[in-house]
Amino acid sequence: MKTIRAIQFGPMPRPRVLAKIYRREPADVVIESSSDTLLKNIGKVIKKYIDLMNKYGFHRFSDGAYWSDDILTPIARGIDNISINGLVRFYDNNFFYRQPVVEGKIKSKTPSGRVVANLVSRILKSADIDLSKNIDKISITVPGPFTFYYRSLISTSYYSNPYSFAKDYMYNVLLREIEYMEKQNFRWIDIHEPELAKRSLDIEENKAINLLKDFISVLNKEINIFIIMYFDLNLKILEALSRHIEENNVYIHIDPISKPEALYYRKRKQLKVTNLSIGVFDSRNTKLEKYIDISRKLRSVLNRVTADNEIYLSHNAPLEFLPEVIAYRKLRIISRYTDKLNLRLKNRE
Amino acid sequence: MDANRDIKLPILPTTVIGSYPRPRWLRKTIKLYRQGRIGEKDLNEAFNDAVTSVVREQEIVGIDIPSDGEMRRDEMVEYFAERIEGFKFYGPVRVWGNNFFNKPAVVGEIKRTKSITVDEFLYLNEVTTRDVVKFTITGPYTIADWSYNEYYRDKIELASKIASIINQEVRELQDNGAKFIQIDEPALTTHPEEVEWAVDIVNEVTKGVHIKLGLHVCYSDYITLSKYFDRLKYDQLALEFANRGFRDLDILKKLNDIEIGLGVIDVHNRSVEEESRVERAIEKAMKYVRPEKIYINPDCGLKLLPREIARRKLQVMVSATRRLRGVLAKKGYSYIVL
Repeated sequence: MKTIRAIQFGPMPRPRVLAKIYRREPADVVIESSSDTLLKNIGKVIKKYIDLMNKYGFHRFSDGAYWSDDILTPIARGIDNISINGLVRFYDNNFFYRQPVVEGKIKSKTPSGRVVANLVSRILKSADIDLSKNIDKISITVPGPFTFYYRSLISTSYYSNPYSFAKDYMYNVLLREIEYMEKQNFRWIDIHEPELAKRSLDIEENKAINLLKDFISVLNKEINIFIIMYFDLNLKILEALSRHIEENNVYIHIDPISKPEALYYRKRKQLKVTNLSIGVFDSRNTKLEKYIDISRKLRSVLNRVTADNEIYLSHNAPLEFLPEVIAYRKLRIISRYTDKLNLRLKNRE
Repeated sequence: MDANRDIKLPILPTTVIGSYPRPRWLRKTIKLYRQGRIGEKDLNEAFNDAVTSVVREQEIVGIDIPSDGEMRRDEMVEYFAERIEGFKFYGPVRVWGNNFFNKPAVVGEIKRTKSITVDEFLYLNEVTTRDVVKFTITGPYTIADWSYNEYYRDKIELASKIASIINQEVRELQDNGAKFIQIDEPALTTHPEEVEWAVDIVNEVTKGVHIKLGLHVCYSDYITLSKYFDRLKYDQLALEFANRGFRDLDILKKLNDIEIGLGVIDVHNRSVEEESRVERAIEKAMKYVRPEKIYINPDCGLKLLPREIARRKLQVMVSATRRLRGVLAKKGYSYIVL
């Protein structure tokens, strides 16, 4: 039996110490800032978090995305023909992001692209972290093409549908980020795609998945692509992903917590993806999970979806929706539960 | 509403949604209190003085129905959760930018052990020179949606329990002389699949209440909300329109007999509106709603604006409204009954 691993993704809750710093220098400034003090201060927070993730034994994790108010703004600021508008609710959360406005054909502002990866790299270098031991575990957080499109205000006739936008976003923006990541020895990119999880999605699944498939085929196989879907569960998309994407370096994350009934919407047929991450720990409720409940949930998910290669356990959506103290308690439970599960599987062999 | 039939207001009465910027000295006083350098008595005195001050400020500007500016409340959900048994706070969560709120968690059976806001109302009622004030209460659905539910089976059960508590509170306010209470439900359309039952929960609050009740819903999907106008047991709906550039105003024709509290001031923008823009917005609304069914207010609470800008925005709102009153007077509209 293969080993199940604990993983983390996405922005972490902002600690008070960082909130204090951002009161003096807003997170917006970080993107352009060359202030060593600011980067070092963020670096201190990241170091503490990474040390803890290593202590808990997480297989891979994000850098905590402490450098931004939301996942869209930094990358949006690095793209030509995008401006930043007012605050808009992020899906059904009491959490708001600044809405990008797409005003024309998009491309990276700098010839080399690399907004987010460069930022993370600079912060990590300014922190007292042993990068040689960590760089292959740390993921870079970016919004996916469909989430970016649907969370933006499209005020140009240049993009009449999500597909043409997604293509430009993937090749003109994401590809640059990924190329830079490779040079810096990062191995994981987390593409946040809550939009793909929506059952009410009005895009054609195959068209969307084929675009992703073509994009993945041009990427270096050393880079692991983590497609992270949350806030809902769309089995049609999952089915399309299972049919069309078989690359070993692609990981699919699903959220069976936000709409548990969605697991049973389509005919009962077990889907199989190459690598699967299951978000069985609730990142939108402070209640700490009991092992028995997690086991039950996990069984019901695995009856519907499984993986050829790796299976990961995680939280369902980013942990930034929780108070910091609870987010860390949940991470500890994820890690302990995973250890316990592996022990049980090993004993069964 | 019968209790209010003797209260006359000018046509297009002006009011606020609720919160108003805290005076700088009050913020300093709160800080001193949190540092343990002053006691509760001093803090309460400061709150009272702040209420007197901002009520007077609204009255000087010409607001017909002032509020207490929610001077005593740090945050609309947190304030109620702190005063209802069964809630617990684990720490702040971010709402946007670098702004946090103490999102409460429901960890046990929730109970109202004493009145939550009656003293606040009584003080406001005492210091105003107006015949009527607006008093705001956070609605049950929003409290449920902005809390973590660790205890109840589901959100419906939790929201229903909170609705019963809020209803008790509203009835006690009614008994103490409140004439106009606004229930704030900014979360009402956040989960479109829940609106169907959320409307029933929000209506629970109105049971046994005979005074004027408003419902404030902002930054929301008004197309979804408009499908439920017929089912809402409220006298008035206070909606935000300035921030959305007065789009969706045509939903007002579905209001039937419900009044509109028309949001004409953008509270998320520091630039002060042109009077002509406010006038045009009111005129546009009058295409869909009779003038005697329109109240004029900002989009939402003003607390995040600098105080001077909030005051100037209200001045513009009042001034534009007064100009239109002149026009309406010639057509025979001069006052309404609350």
